Amino acid sequence: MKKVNALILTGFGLNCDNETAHVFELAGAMAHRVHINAVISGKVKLADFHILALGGGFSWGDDHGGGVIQALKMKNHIGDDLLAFVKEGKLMIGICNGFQALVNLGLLPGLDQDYTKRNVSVTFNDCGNFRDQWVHLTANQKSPCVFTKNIDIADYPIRHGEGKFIADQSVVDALIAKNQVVLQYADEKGNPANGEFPLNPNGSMADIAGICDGTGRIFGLMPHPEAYNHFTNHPDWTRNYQLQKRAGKDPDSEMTIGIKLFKNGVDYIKDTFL
Amino acid sequence: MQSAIENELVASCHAVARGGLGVHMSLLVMAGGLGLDLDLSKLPMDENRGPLLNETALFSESAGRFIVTIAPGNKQIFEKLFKGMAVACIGTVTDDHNHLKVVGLKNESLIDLPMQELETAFNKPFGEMI
Repeated sequence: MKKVNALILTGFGLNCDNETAHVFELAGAMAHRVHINAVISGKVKLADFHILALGGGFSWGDDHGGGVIQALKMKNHIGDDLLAFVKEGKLMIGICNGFQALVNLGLLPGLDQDYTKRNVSVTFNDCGNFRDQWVHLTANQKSPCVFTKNIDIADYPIRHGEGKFIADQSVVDALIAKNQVVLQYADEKGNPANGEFPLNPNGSMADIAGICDGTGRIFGLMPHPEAYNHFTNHPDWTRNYQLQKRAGKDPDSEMTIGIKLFKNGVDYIKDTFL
Repeated sequence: MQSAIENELVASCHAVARGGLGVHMSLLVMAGGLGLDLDLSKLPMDENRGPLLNETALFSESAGRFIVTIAPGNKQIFEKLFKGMAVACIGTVTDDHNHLKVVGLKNESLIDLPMQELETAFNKPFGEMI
């Protein structure tokens, strides 16, 4: 059977590539960690892959803002390849620093199918410092995002200093109206965080944690779903383990939300391309 | 302790480090999302060292100690494993409330803090300063 090939970028300060590759493998894909320069030089061809993952990290040390230089470098060298990749109906996921790169590339939000316009920014947290915590997120059931299919409220880890989603109010309104707002910070019951810290850890407008393009095939988010690839990653795992065990269940039987999210993407490719 | 963990006798095991017992009991409440009812007078004590103060009990950072929680069914076998060592049951985990409740050495109520307050303090160590 043909495999789903996922390309995970590495290099220049990206640092979540091993974990991202691991979760893609758990989700049933073939994960390829490739240096950005190898894609730029043409040694590795974007067209040979089904999913492009721009992972977390601090590309170019966040100089000029998170993801700015990575976006410029990619746009300059492989901009057309990226647009062709999108046009073919393949998937892109940008996580944390990768999300910042996607919005700086203009691939997100891609309003009116314009994948070159930069009209969203992900900038310094309101709290003034780097945050490393877990958040509750609600997923918009009406969103076309292929990654969050059948995912409702769930917990994810975040770790960023620049995660505040801002845009003109008209852009935010359009994203909400078009259901391109995929993930939003919430309390444990799923009520909106309404900007309240630390539920909303960075002060993002409309509690936005992740958005997609109009097709739902390009997805960017500040939280790290790849870092929730095993039940012991969750801060409450010891308690949940005991609850499951004492209820006579296997605590390791269910796929974590993190894996499910990637599996949705992998399954989409299997259904569409293979 | 390794044997207790490997045999899954303990539901949780937590080392007492910086901040002492009070801080690390708080971490236990936050990690489990459950309440704790504790009695400091039940701590294993060395009578030769004179009476213990509540402050010492709560804030001493003496190393080599663990807080463990144990399902009632495992209590006996755990105590058997630790026979001869300074080990004592000093309280219970409860879902009746989600507070850290500590009774002092003279049976006085010392601490009664809801988990939310503990979490706020834990998540904002510099308060409103940043």
